[in-house]
Amino acid sequence: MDLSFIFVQIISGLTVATFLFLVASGLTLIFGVVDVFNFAHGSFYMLGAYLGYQIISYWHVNFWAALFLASIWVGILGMAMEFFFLRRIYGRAEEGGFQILLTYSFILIIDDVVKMIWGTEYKTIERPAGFSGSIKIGSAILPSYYLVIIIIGLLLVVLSWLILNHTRPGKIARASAIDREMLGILGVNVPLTMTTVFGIATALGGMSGILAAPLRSVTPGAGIEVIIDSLIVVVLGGMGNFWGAWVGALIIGEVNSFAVAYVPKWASLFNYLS
Amino acid sequence: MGRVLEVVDINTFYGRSHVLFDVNLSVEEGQTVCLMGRNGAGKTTTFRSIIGLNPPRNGDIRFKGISCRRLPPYKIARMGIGFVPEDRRILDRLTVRENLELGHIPGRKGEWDLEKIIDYFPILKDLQDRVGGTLSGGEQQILAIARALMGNPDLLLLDEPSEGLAPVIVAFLKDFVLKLKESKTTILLSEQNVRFASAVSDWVVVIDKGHVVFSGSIDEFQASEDVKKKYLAV
Ligand SMILES: Nc1ncnc2c1ncn2[C@@H]1O[C@H](COP(=O)(O)OP(=O)(O)O)[C@@H](O)[C@H]1O
Ligand SMILES: [Mg+2]
Repeated sequence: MDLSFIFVQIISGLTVATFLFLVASGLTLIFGVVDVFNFAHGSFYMLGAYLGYQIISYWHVNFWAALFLASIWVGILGMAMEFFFLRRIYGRAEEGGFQILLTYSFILIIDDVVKMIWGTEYKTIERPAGFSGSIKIGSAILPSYYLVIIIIGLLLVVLSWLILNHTRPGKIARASAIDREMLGILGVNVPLTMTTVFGIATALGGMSGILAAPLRSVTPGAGIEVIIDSLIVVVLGGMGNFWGAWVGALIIGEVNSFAVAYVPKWASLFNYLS
Repeated sequence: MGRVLEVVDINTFYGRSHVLFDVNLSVEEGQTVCLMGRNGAGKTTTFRSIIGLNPPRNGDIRFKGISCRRLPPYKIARMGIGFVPEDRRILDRLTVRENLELGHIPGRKGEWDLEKIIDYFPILKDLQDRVGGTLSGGEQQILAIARALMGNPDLLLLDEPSEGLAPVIVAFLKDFVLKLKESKTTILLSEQNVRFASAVSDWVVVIDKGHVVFSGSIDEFQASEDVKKKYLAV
């Protein structure tokens, strides 16, 4: 067995894991804090990719500016979805059923809007300048963009840890997952917290869509694929468990990478993951 | 001395069931008022009405002269009402320190901060890094009160603080409430424990089946054997 081969598999597994985590972390955050399973989360991922494509091809800004802008726009759309729609069903006896209907209908709406605006052909986004080639580590050759993804993922993990454990908004987010009524009694504007968390989580979803766009072309229907992958990660990590989602993503990413490399015929079993 | 809280003829419902009937009570600055009544009399509902969790259908609630009947709980809390619920509601997966930190209300100034709370409740010092859910009932009650004080309330609502606690802890709580009284904290508490109530209160309101049936000074209450017999399990 070749060490550099193993190294390459580990890195590509990590890349897949990072994508899975980026999407699933937002999904699990919404589930844990807002208590909503947002089926449309994958659609925000797709919307992020299309908005990124639009911003780059029409405004000719660089990849990073597009990443930033599109994430924010997707976050604002997520906040609007929470504020105008989801907020109306919290705490109703039929909330569970309404949630499924409402978030599922957003998948259909976003899919159609995307088809109306961008059509059904594949769109692609170029890798950001300076990261289109490969780098050599020992005898292993890796696309440098993979490393970009992994580093962004790690930064996000560290940043999330800092925010969730060491800032007031982070503590409020964790407490909302436990007892929203009590938080209100302690003077916290809980509705605003819900909207904000929803916005941050959908922005994360949108961000992963653009980050993924240079590796997988952007198509309508990507939202559904992604939501299924993230669902597996979120369930594996424990619904609503942010760190569990990270572990879940790592396991699936690595298992996928090695399984496909060693037993190619398993690829079909896993290919919906990457 | 100003009126801190005025509850005027409130009627509160849970869905269709009418629970509070024209309830009136008021709390003066620096006073400790005790709401007494049997289980199911409407004590918790009165508190939930005041803090905005179950707003009354009519009547009015004025805090420092401002009507807060239609405000959400977080706004009422920011106006300066601290509420310690009967079931304490410790955020069980957060640490003791985090529970206290979340009690702080940005923008509200006052004497209480983490340091002073730890001074005041030395037992919390060693518990700071423990997860809330692992505390005993007595420890949770103390934490719940400490957390409410972190918001520097102008009025502290304590819903049956002595309920379900061992006698030693009840004695500790009694001393503690007396200490708060000395520092001129305005308190509205509910109790079924007549001895506890008598030891700490200036004024007593007795509620039964959602109606106020007695309202008087602690001396008048002490003298009214029939009220105690009829409406409280003495
Ligand atoms: N969530 C609720 N839904 C319906 N009825 C309730 C609810 N909570 C309390 N009640 C009823 O309201 C009445 C007053 O209850 P409560 O205020 O909790 O009394 P206390 O605190 O004095 O024991 C009781 O008859 C109780 O059964
Ligand atoms: Mg009660």
